Amino acid sequence: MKLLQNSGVPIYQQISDQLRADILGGKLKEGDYLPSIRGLAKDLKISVITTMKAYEQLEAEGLVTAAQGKGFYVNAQDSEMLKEQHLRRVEEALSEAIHAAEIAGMSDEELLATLRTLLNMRT
Amino acid sequence: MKAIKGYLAFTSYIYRIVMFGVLPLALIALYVLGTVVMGNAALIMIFIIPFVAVMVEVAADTWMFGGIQRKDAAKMDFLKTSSGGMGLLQDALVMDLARRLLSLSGVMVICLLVSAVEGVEMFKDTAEGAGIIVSLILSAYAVSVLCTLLSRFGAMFWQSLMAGYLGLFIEAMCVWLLVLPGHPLVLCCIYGVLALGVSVLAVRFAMKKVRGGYYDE
Amino acid sequence: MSNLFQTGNVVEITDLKKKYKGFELSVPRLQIPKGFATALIGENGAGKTTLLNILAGIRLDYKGDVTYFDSQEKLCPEVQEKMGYVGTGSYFLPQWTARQVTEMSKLMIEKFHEDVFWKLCDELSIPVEATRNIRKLSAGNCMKLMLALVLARDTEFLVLDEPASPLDPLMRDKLCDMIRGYLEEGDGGKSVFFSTHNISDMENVTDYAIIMEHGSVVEEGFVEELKEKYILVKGEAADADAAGGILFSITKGSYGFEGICLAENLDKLAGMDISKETPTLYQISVAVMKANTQLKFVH
Repeated sequence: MKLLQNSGVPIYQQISDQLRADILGGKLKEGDYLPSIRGLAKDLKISVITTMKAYEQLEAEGLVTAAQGKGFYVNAQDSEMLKEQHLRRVEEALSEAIHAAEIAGMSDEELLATLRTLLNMRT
Repeated sequence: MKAIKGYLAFTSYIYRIVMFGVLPLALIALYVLGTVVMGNAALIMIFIIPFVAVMVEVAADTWMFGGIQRKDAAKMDFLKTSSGGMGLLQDALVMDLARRLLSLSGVMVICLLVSAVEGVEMFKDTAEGAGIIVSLILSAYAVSVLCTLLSRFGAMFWQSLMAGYLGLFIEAMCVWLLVLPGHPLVLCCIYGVLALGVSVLAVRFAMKKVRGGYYDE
Repeated sequence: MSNLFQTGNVVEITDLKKKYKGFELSVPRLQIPKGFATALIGENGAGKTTLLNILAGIRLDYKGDVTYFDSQEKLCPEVQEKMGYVGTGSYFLPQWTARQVTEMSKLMIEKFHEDVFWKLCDELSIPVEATRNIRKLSAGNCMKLMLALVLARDTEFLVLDEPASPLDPLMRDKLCDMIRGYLEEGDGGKSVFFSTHNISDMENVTDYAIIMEHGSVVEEGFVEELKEKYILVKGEAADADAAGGILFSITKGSYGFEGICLAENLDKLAGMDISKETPTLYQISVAVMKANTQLKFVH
């Protein structure tokens, strides 16, 4: 796991992002345990509470479940929920783009045109 | 046994070598040398040995409990935050006094034995002689403890040295009382009581000062 | 957050009062969470050392209640056995040697692992020849020696008074590693409480922060919560005066202003051209300390 101290993205966010990618990408499978909170904090040289916040975020998203005294295990990822997860991230990213466009003074048409251009650029 | 271990923990290697070995041997050597050089001087030497012992004991305490009664040192957080710390300190204080008395008595007895082997007759009256020797031991011990009590307010060697000089003066008075015509046995008892009293006082006072660190100065 | 994981308190304080000449420590209620590293932050003279001394059991003349380990116990030999303290002032007699303090530890502490101690001395490269007096150790080496003595015991709670101050950057990093290692070993059962001026160096090992001013606790919380409560705001010089009334603390300059804003007041800054950032614990601490110092002058 790689953490960037000065990237502007909070550390807990970086951890949860990478673990989420591992879960959604199938690297961490259903029933697998996440590393222990204090063990991961030690390995990454960060505070316990930061690791906890990352894990809580994943729990709130329904990706993992806390087992009393045992740590966190990965939930079954049903495809419907997965899709919803992805949809939510798409919405978030687009909202951010809309906000940026407003600041830049772009019209809705211009924004849509940019999106279309980007879609066409994909191979 | 635990008290002895505790006492030993408070002693550095150098302190052990000097106080358990070098000092008693040096006192005995001094006695032998003195009697040889000055001719038939056993009686003088047996009076001199306690003076030297007082001086060295008081000065050497710097390396053991030096400055223990000072306000800043009396905190000794290392001992105070451990459940057994205060008990350990008290054990060490008590055992140090026991060591002093033993060491001084041992040296005096050996000196007497040396002279006895040489066939020197120091005292005409054995009972009176025994009274004087015991008085010498007890007074020297009591004076050394009393002056140690004073020296522990300072952590510097010269402060202990000053207390040692004071000890010489007080011991001289004790010896002067001893050679006055009177009853050595009565004096012996008085010195015994003094020795006991000063011992209790020294341990209690040091502990009180250290415990006082738990509360406002 | 964190209610899920917080399983109890290693220390609970109620109605604590301690008076000195011209100074009063007053802590109506304070809890130190179990299983975490808690930092005590504040100016010199804010009462940090007094509070630590009371917790460690070397100040007994105070009013109020202090209980340990989920309020099961008051200060007693059993608590002392489970608690390790490292202090600044007079911890040892200067004439002691490392060998002597080891012997003493073995005698007065039930679970002192001598092998672990010597291993730590080696690891931390503490010069501990048998004949070397502690008075000849540098402040940094003395701190390392105290830490080694405490870490060689079976404890559940460490109370450390300014552990980072005398250490060099490399050793501070090592100290953080040791604290994290200690917490991991305990898996939620071991806690650390330390005071520090070196907030930045210790931020990555601080879970809970307690900020003190003039003998009182003025802010406390889990660091991640504090980072949501406060927001670092930067803006144009033209808005500085307007923002000044809203921000928690502010620094103005010809280039613009920078300050810490309570998240709940952020909408009051609407209309200003500002950029927002998550503050560091250091920035939050300085802002809180400044704000409380100002309050003192107003009254």
